[in-house]
Amino acid sequence: MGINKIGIYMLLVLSVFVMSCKNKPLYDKEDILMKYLHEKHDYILEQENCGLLIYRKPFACSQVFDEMLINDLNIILSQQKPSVLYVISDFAMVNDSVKKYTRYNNIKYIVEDYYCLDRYGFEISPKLFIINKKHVVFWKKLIPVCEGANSSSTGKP
Amino acid sequence: MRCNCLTGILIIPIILILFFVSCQRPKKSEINFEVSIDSVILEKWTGDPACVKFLELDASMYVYLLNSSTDEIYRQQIKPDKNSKPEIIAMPSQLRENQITGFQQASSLLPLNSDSIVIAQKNDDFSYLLSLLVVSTGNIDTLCLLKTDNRIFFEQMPDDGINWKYDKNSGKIFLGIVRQDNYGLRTYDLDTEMMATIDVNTGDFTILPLKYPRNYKEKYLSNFGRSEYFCINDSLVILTLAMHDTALVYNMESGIIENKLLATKQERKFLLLSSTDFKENNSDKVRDFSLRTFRYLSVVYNPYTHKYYRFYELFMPEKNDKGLYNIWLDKQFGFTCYDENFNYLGDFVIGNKGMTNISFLGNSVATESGLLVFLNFNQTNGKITKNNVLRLMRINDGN
Repeated sequence: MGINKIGIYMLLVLSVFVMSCKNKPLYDKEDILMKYLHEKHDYILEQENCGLLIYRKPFACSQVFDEMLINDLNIILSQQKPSVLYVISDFAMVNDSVKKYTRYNNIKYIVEDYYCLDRYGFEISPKLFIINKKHVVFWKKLIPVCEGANSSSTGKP
Repeated sequence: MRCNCLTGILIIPIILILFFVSCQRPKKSEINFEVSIDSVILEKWTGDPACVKFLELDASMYVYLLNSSTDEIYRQQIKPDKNSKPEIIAMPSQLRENQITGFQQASSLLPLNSDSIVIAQKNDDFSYLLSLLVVSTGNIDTLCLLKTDNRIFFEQMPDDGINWKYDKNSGKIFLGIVRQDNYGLRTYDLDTEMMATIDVNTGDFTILPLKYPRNYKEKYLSNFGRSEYFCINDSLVILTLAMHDTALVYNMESGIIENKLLATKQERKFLLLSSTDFKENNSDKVRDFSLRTFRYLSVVYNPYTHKYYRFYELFMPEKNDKGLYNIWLDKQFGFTCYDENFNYLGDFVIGNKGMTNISFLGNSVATESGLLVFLNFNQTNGKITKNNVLRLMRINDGN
């Protein structure tokens, strides 16, 4: 009888553990990412297997993406094969090499307010997400070479 | 009747307890100040200033800006509601010649009086050349040369270059330093000295016996941590730290160092950054440390009101009511006021940084017409503009 009770208890603990693992999103800030997309760019959530590259430009940097970072991006895109890649940043990418050197064709650029991205907790380091059915199915943080780009909020525009 | 008596017996102690509790709760004294924003248009100015300094001359206030790219110093009188003509001071060719020997462009300046300016050039982290420029003659002489072997690091303040002040009574320049005994380390030992003086007449460099408190946890990990502030009141040097309530008060005449509690009565929640989190670039922790923590800012003594003012940024929760992250625009700031004997007078919260477009509050100066705080250069509503406007905040005692 005692063994049965222990067994049931262990089963309960195990099921809670399994449930908690199952519900844990791949990206720990998925809720606020989805909130942002839902409120600002709802159409992105309607896409299947769509890529999303999102970042803020460090104050001190003229550009974020150098050739090495573009290379990293190209490798991930060739592996993940998103149907479309949305690039959201806080500035128009006039001089940025992401536009010049990526081999990916179906890219849509969106310029977002700096403070809006800050409010939704987006860091300066670029993050690439693959989103499918309103969930992040893949994500990777890209580390830019540009000095000062590694920090989070700098407290300065 | 019996019921009423019981109710009375119960209510009276409750009222007494409530009264007692309200008496016991520490009261935060509110004091009144008038805060206004001045905008100074800088005519003929180009680029970003490497350093902004103020100098009061015969009840007139002047702003000095260093333009490293053009090797010029810009001086303009600050007149409320009126734009004055600027004066451009070309830096002597000697400074450029110094660059041939390895020194960089001028990085900071310190006006001593209407005719003398000290200019700093850096070689590496531990090597500085300080030159004294006489404006009327254009002569420049070496005031002090600090060599790499001395292992003295000058504390740098954002938007303000070197953390230094000139005390005309003693004829000395006071500056925030870090004496680095362990050359290979960027996280300095806790007993590292913090301040030094340079005699303007002799160029003598003297390290003051002010050391980090043993219990001071904040390490010098990054630019966020450069956080010593000081002011001078006659023979007293009042040195404060961003993450510490206590000030070190050094009497230059007696040599006595005293600890004085200069704490605010606002909620203080210090969010610290461990060396591991910094090295591993834990972005959430870095964000907390740089953005959300309570932190003390500059300390100022106003000889006209005989009061000390200690500025601070209040602790900020991670998210707002809408579930979105709070950002630097939301951060509240203010100051605590003390009398000449360091007795607490009250707290005054000015508002949030977005309201005043202030990104860093380290450069403030006492004038006859109130405290003058440098807010920003070319920022409007948190956006960078190119209208050559210097924004200042003026704080006057309201009572």
